[in-house]
Amino acid sequence: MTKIYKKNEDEQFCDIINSLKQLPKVGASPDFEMNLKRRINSLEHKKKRSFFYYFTLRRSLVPTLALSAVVIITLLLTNRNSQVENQLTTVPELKADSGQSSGGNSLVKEHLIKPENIRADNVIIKKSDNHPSDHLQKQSEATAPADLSAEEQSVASSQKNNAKQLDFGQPDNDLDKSLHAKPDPDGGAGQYDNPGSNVNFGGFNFIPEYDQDTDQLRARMDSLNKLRHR
Amino acid sequence: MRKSLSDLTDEELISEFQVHDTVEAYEILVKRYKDPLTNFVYRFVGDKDGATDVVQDTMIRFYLHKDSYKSFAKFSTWVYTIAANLAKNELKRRKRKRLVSIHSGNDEEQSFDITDTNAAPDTLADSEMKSKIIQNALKKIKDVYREVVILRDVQDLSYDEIVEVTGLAIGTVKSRINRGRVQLQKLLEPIYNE
Repeated sequence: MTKIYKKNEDEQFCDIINSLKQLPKVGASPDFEMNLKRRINSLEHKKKRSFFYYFTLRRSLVPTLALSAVVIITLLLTNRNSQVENQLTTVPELKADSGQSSGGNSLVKEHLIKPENIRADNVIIKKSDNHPSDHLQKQSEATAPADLSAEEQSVASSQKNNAKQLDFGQPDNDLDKSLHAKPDPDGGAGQYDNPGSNVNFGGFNFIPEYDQDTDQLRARMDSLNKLRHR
Repeated sequence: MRKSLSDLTDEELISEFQVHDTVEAYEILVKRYKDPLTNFVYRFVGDKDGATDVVQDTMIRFYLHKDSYKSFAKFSTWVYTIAANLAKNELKRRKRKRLVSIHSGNDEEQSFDITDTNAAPDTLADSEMKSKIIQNALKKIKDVYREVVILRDVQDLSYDEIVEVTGLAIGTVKSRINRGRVQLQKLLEPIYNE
């Protein structure tokens, strides 16, 4: 059946098939092989060239390569410079809830607690009743661990206020107390040991050289309180 | 006694070229296939120069990528596949550049080699004209039909070989051949009615 169909199909197109079969055969040109050999030889010659030979032949690439090298070097140098931190422009990191994240001693371990960070020069006095820093201060006091002494809490809060541009609209009683606190005769951890010696805040020591700054701040606070009472 | 290279089959020659890098084996294969491939590509593309370029590219590809031939395939189908793909690319390139001209008669006339030199002048002119008309008709049918019709009716390849060359299913090949023939018949109707 298939053969019959195929036969019929071939018969149906026998004229076309015969015409196509009788088409003159077109051959390759006489120089076909010669041209082919020439092309293959040139390809092989190109293949054999080493990378550097190829590279040096392309003299037109030299300016482009030089320019790209300069650009790469410039980019590298620029990146290196940008990685160096500018100490004058960087803002010290503030950890508002440091008391929450770790134990009570974490507060006093922060480098921000140093009195140099709470210099009177940096204090900006603002007269306002409701300042966002009040909220922050309250929050930090609320979150501060119970085992911290009054001095620690007050110093920490004063520090935060300093970093956030302290607002002295409301009297800071804790800080005031802490600055006027008398030395504890027991001299336990987190207590003021001796007026003349280092202050021990559970592992963190006030360095004596900062005492001068503390005194200055204390004097400043006194003057402010006096002004306020007037 | 070892056979000479010219006595070897296509597959033996390509194997020789692959294993021992024998350039003579390659040259013999080029000699065997340059004419059939030129004829196929000429019928497909439509001009002699383009066909020569495509066949040369085919031979260069065959030379450079000889290792891509696998011994289980027939060499003829492999080389026809390369030529067909390159011919299709050439047609696409021409279409993109809008250089395709259906009626490029003068070049064709020069490139034709009429093999039957014993024929009478009238018959010669007649057959020449007829072949020109058929070639023009071939150009007018779709590429997909033209390819398989040429492989089947001009190059005398079997259906299985055409399947290997085109990578199509046998049913698709048969239907395309049939449709191509129908289109050709319509185009060549005036000749057969005379």
